[in-house]
Amino acid sequence: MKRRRNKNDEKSKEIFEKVVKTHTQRIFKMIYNMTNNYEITKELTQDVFINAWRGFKSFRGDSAVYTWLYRIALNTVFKYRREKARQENKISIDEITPPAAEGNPEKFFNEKSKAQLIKSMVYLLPKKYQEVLALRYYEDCDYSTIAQILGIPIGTVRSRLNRTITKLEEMLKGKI
Amino acid sequence: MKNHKRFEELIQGYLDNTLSGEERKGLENHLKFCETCREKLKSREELLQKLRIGREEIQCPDYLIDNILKNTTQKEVPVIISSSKIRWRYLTVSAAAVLMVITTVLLNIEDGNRILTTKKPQEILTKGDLKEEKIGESTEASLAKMEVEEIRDEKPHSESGAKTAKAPRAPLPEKEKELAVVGETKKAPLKATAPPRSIKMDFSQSKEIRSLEPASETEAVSFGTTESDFSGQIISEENFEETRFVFPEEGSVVGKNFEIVLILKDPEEAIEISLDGEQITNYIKEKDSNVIFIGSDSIPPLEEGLHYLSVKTKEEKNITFYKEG
Repeated sequence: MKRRRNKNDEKSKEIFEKVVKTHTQRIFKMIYNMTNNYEITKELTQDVFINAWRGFKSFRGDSAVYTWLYRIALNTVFKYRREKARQENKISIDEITPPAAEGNPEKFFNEKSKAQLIKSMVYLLPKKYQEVLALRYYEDCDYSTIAQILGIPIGTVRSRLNRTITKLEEMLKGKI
Repeated sequence: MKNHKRFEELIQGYLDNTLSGEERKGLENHLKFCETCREKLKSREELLQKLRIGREEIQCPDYLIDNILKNTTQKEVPVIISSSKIRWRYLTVSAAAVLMVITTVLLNIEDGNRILTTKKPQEILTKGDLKEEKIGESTEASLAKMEVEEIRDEKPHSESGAKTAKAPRAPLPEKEKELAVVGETKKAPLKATAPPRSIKMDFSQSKEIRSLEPASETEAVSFGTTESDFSGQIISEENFEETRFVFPEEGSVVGKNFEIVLILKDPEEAIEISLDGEQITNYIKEKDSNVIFIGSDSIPPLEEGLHYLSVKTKEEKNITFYKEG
């Protein structure tokens, strides 16, 4: 029986290796856009796949692999932020200074800088707003994919996106 | 103001191109008269544009993949894909699906003897008389009989199932496109004691074990009605030719307590049958018969039970398991 199991395991490994090769870039990019830190992104991307491998057994295959990985990636990013906040003795993740927001907002004068400022404000949004925004505007996921990843109805995706952008507009008022 | 709030959400949908025709029309009509909403649309469009500009198209370093593999598949004890927790509910049907009827009989018996009739496979089941056939009726008066049902053009049970098979494919050849799965369950005789690990394979609660003929290849199909039913899985992403049926509970099919009958559409269909990846050669198949009989004596006694049955066909299948969105 052992021999049979091993064959089975080999198949799992083979499939998972393919998953890694296919999706690492996508997950890496997503995490980078949510952290703005290359080193941390490398670390967290590895964590995502290590967690995915551990949970590969329970992956039911009734959703696309990348939606499953996105879910793990989001959890990994926010877990990292929580731990970071704790280490820095901060009360909530909202108090973390986003990398791109450092400095004087007046310095953001060109389009790219404005975009960076916006991104830094995104970093300050509540988790559920960040998730939906990152998936929609950084990852170009459609509403149904977002709904699947976050486990919410499609109608909620739209209303949540609207609230997210409204909130962002309020935060940016007078800054750009 | 309240009205503007309502249109704000529509503006969001408008910019994301997700409005229905009616919603879009309603918004466009409103925009003709409402300057506030026009300004909102414009400013929001600019904001979304800037959001996208801020997106970094960064490349991950090549060595990262190697590092990940070292820390996952090359490090830990690998997982078992067809474990009890994976119940592949949806089956993407391949271009060369073989008509297959699987009859699984869970026999809870003492002494390890088969209850199933001693008739030859072709006498047991042929396509024409599936509905009438009673397996081992004389011996198992107390056993429940389940009729074979042929359900044509079966639709997927859920959206997620359908999504697993988006890839456009050519229509199936008529003679090959039937795929049938039939479960047949017998209750154990009163005096029999059921091995605990066999309970999950008891199909007696399944009122509807289905045979399937996919309406088109782009549809995923599922079969069985409860979690304890058979489930199917195509295990690779392309050009793979193995259809795998995962038993519902790891180790739930124990050595001598099961029998499987495969009924092929075409007697000539060349196949390879494996149980847990181990090819079976000593199954019974008579010449020109489309029935294959796998008895418990076809495999060595198992202590841990079986996990999956796989059937390979000669034909190449274009299966997409990991489907990009």
